[in-house]
Amino acid sequence: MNDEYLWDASGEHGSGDADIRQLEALLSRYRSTAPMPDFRRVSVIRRRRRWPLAVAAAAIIAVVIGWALLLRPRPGEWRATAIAGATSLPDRPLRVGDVLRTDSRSRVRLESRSVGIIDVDGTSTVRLIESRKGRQRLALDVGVIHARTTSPPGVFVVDTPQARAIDLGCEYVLAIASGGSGELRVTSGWVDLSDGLWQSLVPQGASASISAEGQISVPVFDDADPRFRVAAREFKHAHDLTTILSLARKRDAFTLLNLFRLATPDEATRLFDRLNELVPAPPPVRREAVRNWQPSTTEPWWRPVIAASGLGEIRKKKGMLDGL
Amino acid sequence: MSARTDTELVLAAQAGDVASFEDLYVKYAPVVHSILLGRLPAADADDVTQNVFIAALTKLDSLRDPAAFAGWIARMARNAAEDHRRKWSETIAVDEQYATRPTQGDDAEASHALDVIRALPEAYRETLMLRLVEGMSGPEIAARTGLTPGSVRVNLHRGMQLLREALGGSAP
Repeated sequence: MNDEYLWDASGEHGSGDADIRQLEALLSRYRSTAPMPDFRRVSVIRRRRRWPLAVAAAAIIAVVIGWALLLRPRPGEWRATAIAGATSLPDRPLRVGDVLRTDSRSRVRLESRSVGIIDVDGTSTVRLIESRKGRQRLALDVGVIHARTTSPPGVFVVDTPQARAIDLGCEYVLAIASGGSGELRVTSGWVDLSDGLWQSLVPQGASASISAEGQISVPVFDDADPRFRVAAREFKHAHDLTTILSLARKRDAFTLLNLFRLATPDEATRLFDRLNELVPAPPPVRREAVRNWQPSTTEPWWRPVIAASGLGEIRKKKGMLDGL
Repeated sequence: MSARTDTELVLAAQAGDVASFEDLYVKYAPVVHSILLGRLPAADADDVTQNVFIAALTKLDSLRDPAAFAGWIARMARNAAEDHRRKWSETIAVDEQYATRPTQGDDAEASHALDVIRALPEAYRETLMLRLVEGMSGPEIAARTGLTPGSVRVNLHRGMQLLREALGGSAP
């Protein structure tokens, strides 16, 4: 078959290409019929791009950002600035051993690139006691700090006279009275509060107290019934389990699970029954076993209880749950 | 049609000469349209052809090699066809016959021939579209697609062979 007509589309190739001509006639109806767009309007829009202005603006922004970066503390370096009142502050990065004291009218911001921002309220005393890669430690002897951290879990630690708060990636307020008692309130994330023997993992929306004797309470959600909150915090001394069990909501299962360490064998059994109503115990956790409670006895219950409390997963370093 | 080369037209258009871009449109609209017609309903191919060239004008500054305009605009056309199909598949139930569904009033015979071409491999499909739909000769196709004349000749010959076989007894 002669396909020369197919190649050059000229009319000099006889009738051997009749089917091609017929297809051309048939398919020509599909040729583009769209009018040419008005490219002049598009062009006007295109020319409105102010590249030189954009480049200049980008350069200015880069300079500003660069200057701000230069002024930022280096990683691991703490800088103190006054945010209210007039407090004597060093005009250099803080050194280990430095002590900051605020009076009743002053507030200070401590900033570290590797930790975040710590605002120190009035009438507070804060010391920098450790600063190295992977660990930044302050001491709050008295007063109030507001911590907003960006550091990995376990890096930022605050020692108080009776307890230690280990940041697990969060935002919290820690208040310490002159006798060493105090309260930790977590607004975002988690804080590991320990007294040397026990630890309380305090989630966002919950608080825990520190007694002057150096004992930490179980974590209690701030939106729980006030009577439940008091009874749970004072359980170690008052043992008012009836109030606790009658007022516990599903979300409070988290507090109940923390109470096992303070309960007598009979109380542990009652705790098991109520907790089992709120969040059914997983198969490995047995009622008779809680009378001789060890941390491992109720370990499998944590995950369902945390989920039931609306807390999601605990994102922290491996091993931080040890000792619960 | 302009006697200037693609490089001259693109450089002038990049400098803001709209007339040069219009020359590029005249030269390449059939190529873009035939690529789209092989993938989209005929009614959409016209609209998308316009959109491809409007997009090309706004992005013309990003074309570093002006001589590569033919391949660049063809690639934009293929991408635009894919985007168009994806948008439709996201907003309407998937219609397996979408690309080949004839519009009302289409001549059944023409529609059938078009469907058969659309089913051919891409190289044959686009070359035959340019030849049979847009009415371009082999040398013109070679000049506007960047293919060698030899490749175009082979694509036309083999594509036509497949088309004839597929049309079989129902050949026009």
